[in-house]
Amino acid sequence: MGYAAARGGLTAIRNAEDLVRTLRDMDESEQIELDQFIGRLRLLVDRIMGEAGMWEPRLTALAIRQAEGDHIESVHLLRAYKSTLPRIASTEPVHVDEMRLLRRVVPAFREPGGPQILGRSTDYSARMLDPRSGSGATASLEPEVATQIADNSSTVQTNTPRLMNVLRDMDLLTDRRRTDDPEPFDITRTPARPPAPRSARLSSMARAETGALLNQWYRNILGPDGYLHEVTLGEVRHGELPIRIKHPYTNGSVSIGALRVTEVEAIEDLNGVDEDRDRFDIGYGLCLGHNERKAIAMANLDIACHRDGSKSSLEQSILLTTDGLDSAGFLEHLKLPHYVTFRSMMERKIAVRNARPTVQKGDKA
Amino acid sequence: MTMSAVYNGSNLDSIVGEDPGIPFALLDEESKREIRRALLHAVCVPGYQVPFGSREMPVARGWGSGGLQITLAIVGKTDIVKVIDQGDDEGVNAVNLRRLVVTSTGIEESSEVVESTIIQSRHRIPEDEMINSHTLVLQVPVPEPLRGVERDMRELARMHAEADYSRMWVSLYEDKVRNGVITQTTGYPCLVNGRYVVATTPIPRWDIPRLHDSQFLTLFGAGREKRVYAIPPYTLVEPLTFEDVPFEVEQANGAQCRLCNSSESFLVESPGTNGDAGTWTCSDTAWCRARRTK
Amino acid sequence: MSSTFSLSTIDPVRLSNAFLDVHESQHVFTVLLNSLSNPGTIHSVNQAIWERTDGCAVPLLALLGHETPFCVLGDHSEELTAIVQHVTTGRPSSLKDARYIAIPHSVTSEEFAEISTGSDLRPDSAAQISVYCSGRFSTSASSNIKGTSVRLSGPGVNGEAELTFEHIDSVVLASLLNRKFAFPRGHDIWFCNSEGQVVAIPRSTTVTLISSSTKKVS
Repeated sequence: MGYAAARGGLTAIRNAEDLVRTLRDMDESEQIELDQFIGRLRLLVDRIMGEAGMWEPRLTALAIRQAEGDHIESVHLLRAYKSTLPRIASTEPVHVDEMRLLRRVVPAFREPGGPQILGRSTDYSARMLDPRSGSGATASLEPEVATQIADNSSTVQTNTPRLMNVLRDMDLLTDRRRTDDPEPFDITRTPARPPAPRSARLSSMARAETGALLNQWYRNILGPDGYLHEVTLGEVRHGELPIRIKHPYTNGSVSIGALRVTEVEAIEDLNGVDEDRDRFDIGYGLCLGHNERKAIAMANLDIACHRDGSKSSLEQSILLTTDGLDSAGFLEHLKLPHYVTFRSMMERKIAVRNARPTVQKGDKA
Repeated sequence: MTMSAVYNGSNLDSIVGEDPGIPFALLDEESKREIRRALLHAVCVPGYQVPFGSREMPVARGWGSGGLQITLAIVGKTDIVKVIDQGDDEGVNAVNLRRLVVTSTGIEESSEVVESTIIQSRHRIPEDEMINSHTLVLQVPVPEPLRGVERDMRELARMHAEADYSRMWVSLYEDKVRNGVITQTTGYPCLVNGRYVVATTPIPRWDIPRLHDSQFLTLFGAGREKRVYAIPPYTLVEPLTFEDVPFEVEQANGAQCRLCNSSESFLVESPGTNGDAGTWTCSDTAWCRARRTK
Repeated sequence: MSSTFSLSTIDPVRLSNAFLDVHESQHVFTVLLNSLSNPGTIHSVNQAIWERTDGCAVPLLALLGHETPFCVLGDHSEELTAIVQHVTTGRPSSLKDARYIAIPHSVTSEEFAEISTGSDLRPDSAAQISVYCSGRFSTSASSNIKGTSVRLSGPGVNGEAELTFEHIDSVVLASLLNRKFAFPRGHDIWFCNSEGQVVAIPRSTTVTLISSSTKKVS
């Protein structure tokens, strides 16, 4: 008995919606307020903002709550909302050196120029499940002190020297700097297809589903799909960047807010026959919010794509199979009725059977 | 008579209904214009897949977001929309899509082809005759007809640009030789205007002849893959086959709809239980109902 | 290509009249779509819109979006270009780069040769052109309109169709009769007149001359 065959499709939908809404919103437990998502589940909010391609923590919290924690649904709510909004301005480009650093590590050197800030990270914490986490019992600093350390807004944190420039000064970096300044590819306005400019690749990855990028990285950097890469990270940074637009009347630059990004530079060892084998190259990753595994995967895949030079299908995989909404939507569309197709398939099965010389014509039709 | 009152109380009301923040037909003006420009190119180069900046819709990718974008881009205040899935107006996804269109535009809806101006459909062409004032919008899961013979997108683009469909022909030939028949089920590949091979969407072979030399315009929307294409009225649409292998629609061997007795519409089977024989019904529920009430 | 007209120098009435609201844009688009889908058939833009705006620029006013490259041809086109730019946020471009072109008066064959016909890989990079015609259009063989008559066939045309222009630019006509580029390259053209009528010939249509006001073809 298919739901399509039932009359009253609208009734069925509304019943389903009522069920979802009621059970979600009227659950016995306490309602979760939006600031609780932002305050206590910040990494989830950051990840969803990155995949939605939209910086708006409160709306993101709303989406996660409405979607009952399903990350694909949350991203869908946000992107669909974005489709109803007109684009009123473009921000001015901002250099990442303006980043107010909250965290910075440089695996390639023990003493890179500028500070290494472990910052707010669990990298070196013991992964021991702690029943007391979430209660105040494990907080060892006064909240004001912790906030100040985390924020740490001393001026030395901007314009921190980059490892990339250190390598360049040592003449260990190939020079891929452009002299022109093309408009970045806008993936929200034009679908990216191989061969695509680097900005298309980077922005597609910035908005990709985190797990998809991680999987692409693992398959392609270490195998089974790809090559063995020597991977060293140059910079891993998390910090705040200003958002600036041009004032519509005065034409001056106006700061209208700030957002956080994670930025990674990955050092690639060039060892190919046609490559500059006495030098390194750099891959770059940048995404909204605090999402280190995504930015690291981005940086590695960026340089892997460049070195691949369109020889394999790596670029196509990155551009066309890493979007969470596209992949999940298409997968789940299999739940839609397909009985017309299935009827046609059954008919062909019988036609094939009837076409075989050993089958008696007139047998089961 | 407007049916939008039917949707009162659904969660869309508070967001879409009276909210001045949500534009007419959901999409902002810029998005609509982009889709429209793509459609205008599509009708001038029948069968060519025009890339467009597909927007995320309230329905998921793969669930009709492309068809929906086309409908929302073309719809006007006086249009009347019919939406079907597998031929059924009451399929839940069809209902969901239709209410999105209706609640965001205030236009009327209908289950009757003769009353409608825009017909958005997944996997069927309505049995009723459609005329020049009708626009058929088909939902496309996979717009690339050559996907089975080639995966690399650059090569696919070249094949279409150069009208190099040789590998498609080889694949059909091998199919016929291996299986005795061409086993393509729905979405039969067709040559449009003697130039582009298109994915006809998973409509049954039964519906393929309706695309050829039609009175109506057919627009195809692939939201996930971000392309639109079109078959204008009075356009040559030829299913790919060989001179000595006639194109075959689905055979039903005399089956009839158990509700209206039709054997001249596309029928779908309900399998029998407990050893009973299966029964057949028209896939096009509105057509079937009209036949019964005549 | 910069406009010498700024917001402050454009006639404000002309500027505000050029804004098409959501429903007007949709209506004009429908006319443009139907005319291209059914080449040679005559469609009409709402009188109210037509009388208010600048004739053959109406398709541009309805279709252009942010940074869509366009060009308005002709010696005194600066103000119209500025109006279109301000109203749509489209980008004034050279003939070669424009995707939407308005020809309010005439065009030389050198100019016409610059207009993009797209490529085999990207036929959608061809320009679509709006041409103003003084005089009327007719599809009827028995009409009393004298002018240039052409026969049309191809997608969107039921068999063959006849179309008569009281006046049609000779360069544009020549481009239709003698298509220099193999399909899918080419131009798509909307012809519009002072009555708000629109008739279109896309690049997919085969066009042959029946008779012209200056020359009869047997």
